[in-house]
Amino acid sequence: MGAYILRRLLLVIPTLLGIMIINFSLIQFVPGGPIEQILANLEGQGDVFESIAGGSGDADVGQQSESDYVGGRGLPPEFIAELEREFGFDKPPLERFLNMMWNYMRFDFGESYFRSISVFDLVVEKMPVSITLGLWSTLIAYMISIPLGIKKAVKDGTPFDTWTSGAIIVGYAIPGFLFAILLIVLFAGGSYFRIFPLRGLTSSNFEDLTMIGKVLDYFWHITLPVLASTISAFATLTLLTKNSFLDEIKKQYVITARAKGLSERRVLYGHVFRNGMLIVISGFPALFIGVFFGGSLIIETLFSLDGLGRLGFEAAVARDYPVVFGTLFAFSLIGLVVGILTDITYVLIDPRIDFEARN
Amino acid sequence: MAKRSFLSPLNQRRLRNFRRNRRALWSLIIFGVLFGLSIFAEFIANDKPIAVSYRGEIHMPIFKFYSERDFGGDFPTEAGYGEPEVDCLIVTGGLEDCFDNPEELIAAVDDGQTLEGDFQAGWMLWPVIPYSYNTIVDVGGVAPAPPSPQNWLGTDDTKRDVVARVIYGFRLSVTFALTVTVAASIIGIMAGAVQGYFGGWTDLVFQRFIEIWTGMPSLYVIIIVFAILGRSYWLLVFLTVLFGWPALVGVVRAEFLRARNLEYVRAAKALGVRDRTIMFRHMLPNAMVATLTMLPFLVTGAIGGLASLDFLGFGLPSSAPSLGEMTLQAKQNLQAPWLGFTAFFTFAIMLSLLVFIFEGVRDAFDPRKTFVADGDVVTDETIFETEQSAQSAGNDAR
Repeated sequence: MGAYILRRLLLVIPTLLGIMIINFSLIQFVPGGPIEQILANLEGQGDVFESIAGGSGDADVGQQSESDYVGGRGLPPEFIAELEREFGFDKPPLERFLNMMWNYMRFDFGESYFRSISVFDLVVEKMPVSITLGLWSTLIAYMISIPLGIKKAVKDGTPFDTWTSGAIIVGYAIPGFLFAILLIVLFAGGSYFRIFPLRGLTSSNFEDLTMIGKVLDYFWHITLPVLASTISAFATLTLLTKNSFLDEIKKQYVITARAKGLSERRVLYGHVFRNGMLIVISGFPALFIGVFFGGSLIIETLFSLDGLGRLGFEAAVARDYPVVFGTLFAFSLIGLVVGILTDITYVLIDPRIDFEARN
Repeated sequence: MAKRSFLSPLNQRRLRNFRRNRRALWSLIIFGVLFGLSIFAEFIANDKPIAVSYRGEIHMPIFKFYSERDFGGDFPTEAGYGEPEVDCLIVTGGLEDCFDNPEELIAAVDDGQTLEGDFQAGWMLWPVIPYSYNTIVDVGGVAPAPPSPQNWLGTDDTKRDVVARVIYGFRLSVTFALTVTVAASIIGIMAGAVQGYFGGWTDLVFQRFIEIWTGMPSLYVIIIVFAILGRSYWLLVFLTVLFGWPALVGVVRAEFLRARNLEYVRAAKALGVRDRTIMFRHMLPNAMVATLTMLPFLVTGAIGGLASLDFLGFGLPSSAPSLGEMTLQAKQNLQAPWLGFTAFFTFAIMLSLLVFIFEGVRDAFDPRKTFVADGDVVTDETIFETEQSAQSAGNDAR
């Protein structure tokens, strides 16, 4: 097992390096860099989100060319040279890349180009939204999916089983942002019920509220976004629970438990539950990370929340390279490590799984 | 029943199984009708008439360009069939008076009167919805107009008929999704098969490659490529396939890894059968169920992906009849709930039907599936079971 884990950990290095190289070289071909962005901002034409909100995404990317800063017309060349030096663009790409990787290996992610804040702090700043959406939607999904899955396993083949399957699969197939739109139109749009607020995580007078008021205000704001991001989460978990329970129910210890006269409830929750839940528990490492670092660009945009999904997108469009590469490096690393953790949990939970058994 | 069939007994069984799954069968029928109609969208929703009879001759403006001059007008540009002047020219056979008071003349012809001069009655056969997806509707009021007898689902914020846009958008989404799915499946199956069949170093290296590939921020790449090459439908298809094919690799690879040490494969190898034949003729049919399991999610994923790109403004050219753009409009015009409802229900119906159909296909191909006499399929949960086992089998191999 030790050798296996070591091998997997070593394989992370070339993968991570590959991801960084590909993305770094990709960036070199892109017209328009951070300098052009700054120049455009200085000349008052660079509001990236204006063009997105207006739905014409090509305006911000295509307008400048690499060599002669069209956006920089009217600005002194010394100023541009100064900017280039400040951002390190006077060095050749290879040197920049090696510098960057060296910093990242020491977990030094640098500062954002456009805000004087370190990338680490920037991510921390955006995390409340991600944790809110991730935590509540995961809790709701688990609280509904597991009992539902058990009930479906017990009632396997009945009409109840069939229609719930249909419903959750449809919920899975329809993108979450369409539910979000429907919820907004119904409950926040003003046409029907104006129950929930349209934007943000808290009200503007949040500071003045009492403790209870703050809690209520928070839940009032997050109801719709959490609901919209929960709907698609049911399917996998419910069906996983159901299958796992179906497998367990057929086993002999269940017959024994029944034979000694235990109530059906006790059989299910006292005996089957422990074994049936193992496969669900093995998903916990991935789940945990998902709760903290998950981000959904569209849900966040729809409800005007400022989370990690928006951060990644904004950084990419605004060419904030430290943010782009810093988050790419950190999240890829976390993702790869979590993949290994998940596999180890499988073994811990079910010692029969042996990754080294193959020839 | 001595009827002979072109299908092999195995395929007959599959067909029978599919037919017994009533939900899938009805989904297929409804979807078939909807898609069939949307293929002929030009005949259902168009701003040109299907047929025009002008001075005894039948013209088909739907296929051919006719200038206004062809109907006795002044301009060499395409005839504006919705305008009363042109309308009048056609029904009267090109009377000069049409330029002065067309409405009166049309009313007169409608009453069956014969007018003096060079009169020859004509007619126009219009589609059910006299608007195309990009026709600006000529009605008063503010831009997203509510549903009315003229525009059944209202208009969007540039005064285009919503029904027409839904019909064209449905066709666009479905053809996009099917093209992407077919292309991505072919690439994914081949890659997964090679990876699983050869295993070892091929597998190890390829697996790293896929990890890197899926680590690329696809939205960003799409934005970049569109900025350089300009937006187009086929470029988007290409890019979606480019990032979509790894979805199938895992499942196919796991099935091949599992099967490669089984007796029938060893026997085939011992007989000296070529690798390619073993892979695609002997092993692939066994990996079929696992592959088909993923298909519904590839299809719905492609539709959802297109919708989100359009929603963000990075999708198809803005002239295209896109349902994602309608969703964006729904968000921007909350006072016009018909846009949101239309977008949601169009997607909900389209995606549900597709999922149910592909689920039925998958079940029909599954040899282990048992079918109860009255026709209900036993379960559809195997989808996630297979996904799960694919994952663990994939891990086994490392």
